[in-house]
Amino acid sequence: MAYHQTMSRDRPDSAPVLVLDTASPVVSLAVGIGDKVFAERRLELRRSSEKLLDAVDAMLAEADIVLDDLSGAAAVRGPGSFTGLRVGLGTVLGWHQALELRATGLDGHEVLALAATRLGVEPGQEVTAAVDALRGDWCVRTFRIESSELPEPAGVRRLVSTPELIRALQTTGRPVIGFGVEELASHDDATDLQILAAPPLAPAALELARQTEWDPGLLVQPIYFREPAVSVSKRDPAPPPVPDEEPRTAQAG
Amino acid sequence: MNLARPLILGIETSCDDTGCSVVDGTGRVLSSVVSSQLSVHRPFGGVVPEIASREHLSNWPAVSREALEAAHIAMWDIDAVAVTRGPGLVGCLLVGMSIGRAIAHGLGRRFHGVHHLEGHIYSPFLSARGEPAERAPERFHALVVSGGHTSLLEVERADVFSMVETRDDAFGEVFDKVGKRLGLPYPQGPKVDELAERGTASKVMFRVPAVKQRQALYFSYSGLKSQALREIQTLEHRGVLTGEAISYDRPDEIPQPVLDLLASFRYSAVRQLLDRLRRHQDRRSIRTLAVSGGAAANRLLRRELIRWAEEARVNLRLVPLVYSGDNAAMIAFAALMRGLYGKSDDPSHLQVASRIPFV
Repeated sequence: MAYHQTMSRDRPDSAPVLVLDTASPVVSLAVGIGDKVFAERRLELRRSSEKLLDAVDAMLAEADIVLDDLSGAAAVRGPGSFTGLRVGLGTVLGWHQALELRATGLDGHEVLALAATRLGVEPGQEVTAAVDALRGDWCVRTFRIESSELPEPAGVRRLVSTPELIRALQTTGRPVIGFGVEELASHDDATDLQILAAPPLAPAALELARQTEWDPGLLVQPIYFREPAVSVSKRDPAPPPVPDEEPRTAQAG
Repeated sequence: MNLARPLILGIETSCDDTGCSVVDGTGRVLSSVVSSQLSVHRPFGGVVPEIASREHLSNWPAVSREALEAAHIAMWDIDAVAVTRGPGLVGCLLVGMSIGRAIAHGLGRRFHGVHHLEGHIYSPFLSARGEPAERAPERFHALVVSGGHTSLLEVERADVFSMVETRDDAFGEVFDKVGKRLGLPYPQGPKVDELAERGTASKVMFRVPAVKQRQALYFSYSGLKSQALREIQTLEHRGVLTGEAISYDRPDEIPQPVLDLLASFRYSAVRQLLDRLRRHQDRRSIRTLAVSGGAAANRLLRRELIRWAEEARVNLRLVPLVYSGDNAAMIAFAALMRGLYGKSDDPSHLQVASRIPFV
């Protein structure tokens, strides 16, 4: 189903932006302009959906602004917790529709790579952004850090096993950033890894939001690291190809 | 048309249908849009929760836009937002809840978290012709029959009390399972009902579970399901069925004993419902019975309920077919009814849940 963009009201670019990262093990939110963070909050992933709006209100109150003062809102669209990322994307989508607020979704790997620059990864270096994909896998993407621009992808996004990731990091000497990557060091084969524990991502996401195009269509394009684990029913007859069904209107008075 | 306030935006994402609706203060349905995921789930023989959750998010912008356009209003015009909070698939519920909460939060409007069954309970009072809803009595009984529920409930001033539940499978669920055993494509229940119209119910005998204690008026469908599955096996042993899927698209080629079996099975399922209603009526007066849920579209059930209601002098309200399945109009209307009795919820504190028992 094609995304139809809600018209966004004109708001000054100098107004603050709100970002949500609900896809990571540490849920974080921040409001500010670029690298100037006016206020931020952190939540545990568990039950974060229930606490999110209270945290938003408290954060906005601290920054002395209201939702309608924002120039835009963004959510990290994964990879990460499937349910978590949909909570963030759905929340920003709701604000976008209610307030005609500019909105977009942010690539979590790109946010991690940007966060790595704050942890000492320097221009010219490459860094691997890794997200725990469970079942012993990591969803990874490598970036080259540029001096004045956004991190440049230096490889495709892919799923690798823990031993594969360790081997790749040892071969290239690249640093790795992510939540839970510290556990890689405890593996028998792991020696001399440059491990960067990810900080809450909202501040880096705020900076990324300033430098990327607003595209609310990205709010309905989450980045999942795996297809749903299902198998085709053996008992059911193989279905004929069915075109996408249009929404059916029951009543329009 | 003058719009009666409040205008309520309904959101329903509890299972595999993405619904958005606008209902006005008279209960008139200004729009009700449902995006079905049938084609997405059909290859798997049933709803896959993770796929359904993904589809809800991607379907929402088009579904909500169409609902607002059909109602000729903008999001800003909405006075309240009503979202299904459960029971249902948690991942699916969270999509609707996150969006709905943010809309209410952003606009500073009232917010209602609606029990999915509450939506069904009030749906028989909706008009399918775009007219104001019929005023639901302060006190009435409700029968919800679907793939997930077989519930007899009592409603008083928007408080809902559970009276009778199924002890095992739901009414609609056994139709789906029997249809699946025959290889019918998902959703199987309505197809079983349709094929049963071609059979003779008296050809196969099914037992209706006896209620030993007159006080215990529960529903139970797993025994009937087992009997039906055994009968199918017998037909396979006799060579009437080959073990291959029967062809729903060519019903004339389906052996008559199979159609008779389905007719008998359907008759027994409906007979149990009517039996329990009669027993209940003997003990406690039912003046108004509102019947809803996806399986309330069952042809035999509708015919038999009308006959029973005339005999028992019960004011029967059958859900309009267009609102029998999951839809957001019923959620918005239930919120309107809750609002009449002063009930609303704080958008920042409402939880979704896969199970939410009534008192």
